[in-house]
Amino acid sequence: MNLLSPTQLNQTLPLANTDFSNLAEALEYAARGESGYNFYDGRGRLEYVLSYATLELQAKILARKLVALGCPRGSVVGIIAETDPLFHRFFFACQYAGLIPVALPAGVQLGAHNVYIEQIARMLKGCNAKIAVAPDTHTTFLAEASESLDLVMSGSGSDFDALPEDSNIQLKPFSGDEPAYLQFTSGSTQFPRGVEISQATVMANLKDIAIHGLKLERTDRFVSWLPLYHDMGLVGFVLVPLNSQLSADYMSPRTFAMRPRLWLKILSDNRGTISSSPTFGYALCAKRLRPSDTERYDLSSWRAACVGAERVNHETMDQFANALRDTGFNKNAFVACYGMAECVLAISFSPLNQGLSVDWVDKFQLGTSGKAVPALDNAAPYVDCGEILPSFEYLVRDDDGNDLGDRQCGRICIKGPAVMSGYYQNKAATDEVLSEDGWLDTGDIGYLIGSHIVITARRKDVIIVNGINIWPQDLEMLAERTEGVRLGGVSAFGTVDENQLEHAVLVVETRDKDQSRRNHLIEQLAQALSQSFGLKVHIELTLPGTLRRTSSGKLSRSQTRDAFLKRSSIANLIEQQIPNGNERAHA
Amino acid sequence: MTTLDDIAQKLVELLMTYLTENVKDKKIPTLGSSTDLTSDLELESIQIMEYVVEIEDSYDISIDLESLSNAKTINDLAQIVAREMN
Repeated sequence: MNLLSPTQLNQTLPLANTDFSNLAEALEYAARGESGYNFYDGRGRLEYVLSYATLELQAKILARKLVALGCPRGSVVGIIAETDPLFHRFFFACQYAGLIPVALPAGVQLGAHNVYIEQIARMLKGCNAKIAVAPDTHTTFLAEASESLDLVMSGSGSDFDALPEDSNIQLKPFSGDEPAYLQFTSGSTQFPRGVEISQATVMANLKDIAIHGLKLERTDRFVSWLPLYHDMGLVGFVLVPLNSQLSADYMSPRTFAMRPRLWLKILSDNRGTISSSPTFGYALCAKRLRPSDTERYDLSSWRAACVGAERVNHETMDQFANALRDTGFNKNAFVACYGMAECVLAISFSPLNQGLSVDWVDKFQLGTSGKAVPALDNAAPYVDCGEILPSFEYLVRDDDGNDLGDRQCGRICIKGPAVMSGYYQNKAATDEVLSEDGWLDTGDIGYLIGSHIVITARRKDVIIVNGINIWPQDLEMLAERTEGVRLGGVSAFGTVDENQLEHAVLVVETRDKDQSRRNHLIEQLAQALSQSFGLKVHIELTLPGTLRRTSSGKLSRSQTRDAFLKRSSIANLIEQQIPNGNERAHA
Repeated sequence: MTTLDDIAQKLVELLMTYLTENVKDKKIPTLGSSTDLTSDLELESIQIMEYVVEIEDSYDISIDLESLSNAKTINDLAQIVAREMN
């Protein structure tokens, strides 16, 4: 029998979310109440309860042990971010110890032992980490990854617990412009870039989210399966609840992928009010739902079902809402969000209690002139991502830096206190996106409708499949290491099918005409891509000279994509014997 | 007594629901212990996880991450299942 019970809503402590100057202060206030974090296991049983009060105590003890290791203030601590109390303990110990925590991926693919170890080693090296820790499930991986690195200490939670505590050590939490954490999100896995977020920066976004985005109240309760090594998981479901003294219930991403219905069960059992997912999570959940589920679940408390991180597909969301109609789920609970780790987490939220709003615009004009003209026929649906949070200034610019007006597509640029300090120890990469006067070029393409933002294309070149960002450079580099592929003879990009689902495509140049060798090459590539990225990739072999280049000779993925779509739509047309091919022009 | 072959055969059966018709047409005659789940069958990682859950549920076992990270073939998985059942 399970004697644990999850932490409560906050009954006694007045809600406060605008007054804290750093994360340590926010934790200390929350620790005066009854709320905290709850961890559910792979079968949906409550496994561990970590109240904010306990977390504060444990974090301080651990912080003294970390300080005693003697690393300079501002040294980086890598934490393999399994959904486990260990992550929270180390993340907040770092706040007190003056060390910078960075969450490292915890997901390992079938047969991908070495790929994973290389990834962790590259990340630890990339941020010059001095300390690394893993939950028990990952200690052997971490041990292998740290072998070639010069770490002060690397080990399991209990290895660190066994260190002596020096009670004379005075803790000086990070504050003001000092760092809060690094976030690996932007940049390829080959050349990882860590977003550096300061205390003042993170607090600015947490406040905006609490007051304007989600309008949090003491009755709110968070439920999440999102990985803690992504901004939506870390900020949205560790820091946002903390900053408003609210409880959060977790299952791991692995549990969600295996048993997505547990997400709904926990929401139902605990009367969760706020939970987020990329579109694919809602789709997966709807697909695995059984008819008996809807009788058992009561989702009427779920007031903000946020959707973001990838293209929002309104049809998928409708299907999810319809499948759950009998559970009391209200489709007006859907909230479209736009954001990125470079701005902590959130840039905009669609209005609460109104559901998704779809802007139908003329495909032809959008494709040719970048104008988003409302239309009924031959129109493409784009979800309105809502009002930009008040701490941001925003502009949409053309490629020459000119400001564009309403309903004109361009690059989305923003400025404000929640914008990152830069990419950690990477001035070149920082200068590419952050201007001296503080404007961040998000790289995303979209248009404004008044103060509302609509995204039409996320970061140029990034391929987003099942909510995971994949950098084409990574697919290309892997392909180039395969025998029979020339350096520079490969291009990777994403395409969107008629169901608005994104797929990865790899076009590879080869002169080889021998069919069995060609098949072998495709198999080799498919295997390598599947093992490294868990990804099914459409592979096309073409003759050298097919890949498009820019005037300076660089490969142009977008032109290669357009040419690919043209080829494949012609092939489709021949197959289907449809005489008129205008419809596929819009990619 | 369940032999490794029995387990492998069961794992192949469980695998069927995850394969597209196209892959089935091409691969069914060759499916067996040596089938590589990470390359031959056009499975996405999320389908593989679903498959692993089905294996766990069928045998009432729990497969750890370290073992999965070293498994590629049906035979590799069958060995894990055999080990966990004891």
